[in-house]
Amino acid sequence: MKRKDGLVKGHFPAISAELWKNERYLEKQAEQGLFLKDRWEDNLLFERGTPRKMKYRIDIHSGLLDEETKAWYAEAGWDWVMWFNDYQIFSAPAERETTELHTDPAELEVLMRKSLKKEQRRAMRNMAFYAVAFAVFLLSLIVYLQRGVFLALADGTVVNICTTIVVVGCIGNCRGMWGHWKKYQEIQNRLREGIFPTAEEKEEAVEQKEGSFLRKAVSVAVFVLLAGEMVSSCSEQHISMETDFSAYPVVTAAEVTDLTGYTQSDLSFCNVGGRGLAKGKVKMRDIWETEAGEECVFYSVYYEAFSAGFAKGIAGDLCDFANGYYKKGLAATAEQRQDSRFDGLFLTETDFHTATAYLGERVLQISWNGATEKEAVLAKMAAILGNETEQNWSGIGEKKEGGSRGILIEVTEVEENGDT
Amino acid sequence: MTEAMYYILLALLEPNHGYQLMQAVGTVSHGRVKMGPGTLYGVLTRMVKDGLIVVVNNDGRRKTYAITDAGKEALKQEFARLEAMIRDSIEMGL
Repeated sequence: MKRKDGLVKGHFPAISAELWKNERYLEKQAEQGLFLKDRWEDNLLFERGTPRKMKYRIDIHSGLLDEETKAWYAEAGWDWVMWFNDYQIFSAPAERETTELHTDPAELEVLMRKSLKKEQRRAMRNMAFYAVAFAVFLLSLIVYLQRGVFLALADGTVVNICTTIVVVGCIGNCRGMWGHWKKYQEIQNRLREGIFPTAEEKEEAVEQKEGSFLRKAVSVAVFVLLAGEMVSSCSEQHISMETDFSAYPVVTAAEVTDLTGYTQSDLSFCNVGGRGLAKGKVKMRDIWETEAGEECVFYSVYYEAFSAGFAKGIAGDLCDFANGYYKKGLAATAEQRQDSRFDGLFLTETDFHTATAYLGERVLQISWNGATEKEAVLAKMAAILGNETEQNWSGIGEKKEGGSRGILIEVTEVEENGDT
Repeated sequence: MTEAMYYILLALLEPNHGYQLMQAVGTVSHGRVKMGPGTLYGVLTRMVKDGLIVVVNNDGRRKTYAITDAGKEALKQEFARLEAMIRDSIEMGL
């Protein structure tokens, strides 16, 4: 039991139909000096006092009793304590003469069966809630499967954790609710046959069950995680990247002139420098400016990639698609477009990303790898392009607008004589 | 119909309020039937809902109940059933 606001928290050990067990629990509490005072959500609150022997009775009626009704119980020797869910709780000192609350077994049976049916409906509603939560999660998983990414470790760790928690939480709670539902049904059947409760059941020791609040808290946390994950995945768009781009049309400068209207819609780009990107959705729009004052716009799209063994998750790695030159109406040379060194998508390491922009005959690349030291990035790009002697990397630009980090590098081809 | 219902309907042939009903049931049954408060409350709630009795007066402190025509009819039917049971039992030599 835990303390809250000076009162001691507890909860009934038995299901509501086993009234006598919960009555005995309250009596044992009183013997330890804990007297039922109030409720907090689904918990009972006890205040400390002098231990004494008390009698407790629980009656099956929901709602607040009026004073007249309480007086009937008082006339029978019972003091009203509180109501808790569908039950009224009464107490009396052990030595006081009292009349039992229920003197007609048939009437008590009617009340109990009505109450059990209500509990069953509640259990069904709870099961339906967890079943829906689980179904929503399964749907989300199916969507992932269709995109070809299934529980990717690198970026999908959160997905993995969500999967485990949701599966355990939903199934666990459904099992619990189903167990309750079956027990209620069994008790109803036994009531009809007049064999509930048996004398042995009435003598059974009462055991306090712990942890139900914790389980409920975990269940809520699981559902919040699930909902957050679903919202997050619905707000993103993914593009499929294939290794065979022959089916994709070539996008020329004339066809793609202005991407400013595409920030929230699907885009198709293919065969930029021999590599292609399929449909995606622009997530970010970064504007970079070179030292010479040239503006270059980079569009970031979220994507999923299957190629080259890359593992991508939902939030995934950003693919920057360089399009500033199109916006300005400038054109890359045909040779530059065919040159695989200047791909729109350039991912060779999961922590290193580049994107390329064509600016006239010059090529601008944006690269980032978490750290933005120019020398480290230049060295990596040179290694990736595999052409240390032919490329001269220079220049650095500043980010004017946008969200990604990185370095803007200008690549100039070096003539055979070493001059640019 | 349970025994508690029967005796409450019987007692409510004269309008009465809850506390006195408890005692009236004891009187009508010659002390045989003792009405607990839980039974009384449960039966009254159910019979009001089923239309067998009705609240005829509520002064804020206590409610007075009376039997309805439907309640009288139910009572008569139950009486006839019980009478038939007794007759059959006597015929069988009980």
